[in-house]
Amino acid sequence: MPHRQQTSHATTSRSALRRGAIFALLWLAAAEGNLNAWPLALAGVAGATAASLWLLPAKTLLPISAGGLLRFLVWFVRQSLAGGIQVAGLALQRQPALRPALIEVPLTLPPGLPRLLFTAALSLMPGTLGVRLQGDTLLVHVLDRRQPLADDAARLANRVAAVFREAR
Amino acid sequence: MLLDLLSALLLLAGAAFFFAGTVGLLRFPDIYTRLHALAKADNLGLGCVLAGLALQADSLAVALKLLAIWPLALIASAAVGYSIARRAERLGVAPWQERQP
Repeated sequence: MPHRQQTSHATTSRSALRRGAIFALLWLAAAEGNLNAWPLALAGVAGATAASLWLLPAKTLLPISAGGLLRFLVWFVRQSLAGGIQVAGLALQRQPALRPALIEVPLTLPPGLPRLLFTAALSLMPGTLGVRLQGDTLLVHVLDRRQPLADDAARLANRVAAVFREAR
Repeated sequence: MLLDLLSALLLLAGAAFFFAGTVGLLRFPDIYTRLHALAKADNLGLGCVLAGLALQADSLAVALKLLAIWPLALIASAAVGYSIARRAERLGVAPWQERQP
């Protein structure tokens, strides 16, 4: 349908503009605001935008909520602080109190970026490490099998779902 | 003055986390527990060092550049950690278990 085609094109161009702006900002930061090499910057930003649209087409990307993303980031920084402190404490104990286990966690998030974000974030949170995504489960390695893994995973899934404005 | 103090504290904390991460890498019993130490402690150490350096940066652009390194390193670290763990699991590496008392 021509109408559908048009909306899809519009989504792609809006997405290209947004991603191009992000890559341009990254370039500005990396070049410390120096625009002497602007032809190279232009080529780099165009190339990065094209690669990004190829690897993650606009229509497969769920809409991202800015507020949800911000809340996720603040929460994530606190969690990774807790994760780092916990594992640093374990490493420096005389006799590290490890009770490791591999545990399967059912995934409630939709496939694609939400599950990737879930897996990546889980590995930086206290006591958990994503080992294998398969079907609708994620195999998780925990440092202490008494950790309330199901609760922690559900909390993380809620935070990730809020980023993608996705009702679970 | 206050910024310098805060920066020094962050740099010291960063070094401490890198140290603890390396100690964990050497002391933990198997590949999975070692990945925990690297993924979490070293990333936190990197975040502290970058924040400490950003406070001393001469310009906002330099500070932003330093702070941009952290999310990029986090993404790489999460992807690499997952790949190593998945490969180990595929090869049948069983996780270390503490001895039953």
